[in-house]
Amino acid sequence: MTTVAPDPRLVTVDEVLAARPHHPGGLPATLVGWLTTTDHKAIGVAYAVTSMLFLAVGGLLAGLIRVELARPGLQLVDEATYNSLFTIHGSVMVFLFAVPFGFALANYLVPLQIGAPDLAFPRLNALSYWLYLLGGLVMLGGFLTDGGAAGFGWFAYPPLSGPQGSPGLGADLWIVAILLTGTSGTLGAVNVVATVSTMRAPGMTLFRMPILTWNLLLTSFMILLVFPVLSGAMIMLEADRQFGTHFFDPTAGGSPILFQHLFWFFGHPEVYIIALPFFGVVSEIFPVFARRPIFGYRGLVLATLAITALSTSVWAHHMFVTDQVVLPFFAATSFLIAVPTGVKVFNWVATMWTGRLRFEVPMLFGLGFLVTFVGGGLTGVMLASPSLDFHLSDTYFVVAHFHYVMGGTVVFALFAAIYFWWPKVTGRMLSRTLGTIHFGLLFVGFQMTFFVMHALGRDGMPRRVADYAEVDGFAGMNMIATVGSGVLFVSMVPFGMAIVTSLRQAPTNDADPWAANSLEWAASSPPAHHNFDWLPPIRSERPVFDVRWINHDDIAAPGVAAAWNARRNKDPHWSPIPGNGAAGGDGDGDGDGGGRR
Amino acid sequence: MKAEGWLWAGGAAYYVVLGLIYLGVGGEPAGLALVFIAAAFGGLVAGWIWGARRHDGAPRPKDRADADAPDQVGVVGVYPTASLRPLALGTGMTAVVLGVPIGSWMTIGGLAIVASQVALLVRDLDR
Repeated sequence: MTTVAPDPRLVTVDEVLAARPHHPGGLPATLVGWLTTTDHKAIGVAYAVTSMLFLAVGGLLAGLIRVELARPGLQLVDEATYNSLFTIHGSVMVFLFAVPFGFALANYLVPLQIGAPDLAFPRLNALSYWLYLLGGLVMLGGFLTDGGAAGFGWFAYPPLSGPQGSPGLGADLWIVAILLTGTSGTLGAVNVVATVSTMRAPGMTLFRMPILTWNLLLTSFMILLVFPVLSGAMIMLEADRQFGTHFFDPTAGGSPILFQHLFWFFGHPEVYIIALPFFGVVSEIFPVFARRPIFGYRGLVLATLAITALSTSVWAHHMFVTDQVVLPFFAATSFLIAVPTGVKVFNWVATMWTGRLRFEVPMLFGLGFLVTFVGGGLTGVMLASPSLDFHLSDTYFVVAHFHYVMGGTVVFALFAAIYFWWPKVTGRMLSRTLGTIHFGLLFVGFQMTFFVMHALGRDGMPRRVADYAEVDGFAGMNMIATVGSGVLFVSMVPFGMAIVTSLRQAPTNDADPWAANSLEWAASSPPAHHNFDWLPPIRSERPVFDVRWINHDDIAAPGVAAAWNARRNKDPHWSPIPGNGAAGGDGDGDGDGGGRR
Repeated sequence: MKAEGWLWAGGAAYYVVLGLIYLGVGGEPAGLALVFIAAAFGGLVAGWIWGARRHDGAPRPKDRADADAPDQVGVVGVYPTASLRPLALGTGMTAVVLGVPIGSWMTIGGLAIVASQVALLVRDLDR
């Protein structure tokens, strides 16, 4: 890494903040404060902490699954318990961890990134959180019932999930939990759409919004479209179970295939509902640590729009083996969605291509995301082909595919987000050394655990079986996967240490420690109540970058200097930066336009 | 709001086209219904946005590329203080749904909580 002497003409956000009156910020200090808060930042942190706790629960269940499968024979649990383990593992990871962490990002960052004081409906936002938490507890409560927790898999196909297939209360609790978390998600999406549409700061046009905010907006659009469909399917299923209706009962004229259509109309967009926020995360991180603007901003936005649209037209590729769907239509749309996804990957690589990379911890996790996501994407294209899907459906190949797409992608980008925005939330940094160890262990553990599952699936190991025979030849690869899952558990140790050591050290309160781009870095760390003591002029998608480079007319966005001068003419109070608008290069002659300080 | 309007209208148009193609290739009724409902949903929001835009007249500062913070002074919004209502309302809603498999007594209790909290929220808003 080349060391460049700081340019004295570069402006830091901290200089600007120091010249202005500061309002206190921070999170609630008491239990009552947390129970009654309507502040988007506190609710965002609550979402993040709760979803991480559910990640721990889901991870623990996965650990039990891996131990059971390490060797042939039943050694830990019986088949019924195993069914509950993989059902609740999948449900927790999808409904209680991955989607809610996206809402954590939306809660904390959307108002900050668009220059708003809060979300549009703060009390509705708090209600969303409580429905999510209560729904999660109801789902886990299934383990305390007589028959145990639901055991029909996370997509709950009837007739297995019907009154005869799963008569216990645990199944009902699962359905109730999905209804509650689905309602929570729908209300959260209403909040995000309303906030982005009506509360952006002056000058923050749609095409100046950070990519993360764009992705959260489009994620919310998908949620509004498909979560009510899931809720409808759950109400019909519960009616079959409790009120004797026959929506999905084939013996009385009902249709289990109808349930599959309803579920997957939600279920496939759900993949992107989970992934898009994390696409947004790395789209924020790569430009900062490549010290380049994001390559093809509008192309990325259009690719996200295309993914949003196409994701709701591929649902029945999960139903190829039913022989009840139009194979060419769904195969074609499934192949098509690889195009905008490929555009995104191209843009991320192009952003880094001629950049001057800084391998800080968020960047490492971002790169881990990229590798894992491309791996999962490639097997997704394979599964979009019906002829291959017929062979691989319900095997461990599918398990490997979606753990690459929905597991690795989310987890790597999630930790990238935590390491990146932790200084904004707490005013403290996380240890670079511990973070690097964390990344290394997580990457190795993840690949060990899930890569071999491709081969297991190719060789015919079915998913959702508690046991296999010695002669099947699956034992070696299962043992590798189990050891890998152990490495994954160990990888959480340095992460925990990094959190504890960071919280014990004195805050630096550096507003912009990464020399980043988007508006949240113009706020103090942690941000004040209702967020902003000041707002810079917004003339590009990188308003904080423009502040930093305001004394370099050829680097800051056109119109920024004029906006500062206009502020000064109206009211000197609005112009805290002395001598802005001076022309000149960036002083080092590299023409990188990068954000080093 | 112009861009937002185009966004929702574009979504609606996409689902109309998708639905027609799906109909043409022999798509099943459930999928067709879902796609056309999606189109109607997008059209509904787009229509509201176009109406609001016509009502508002001039572009909002957030839609103007040359706008700056001093162009939007005054009260940005009125925000609630801390409130126990969301937690109570969420608990009530959970009880309503949980009562379906557990017992109607729980649903009735939940409905009472929901009704009281909604009434209190409305009273809060009136203040």
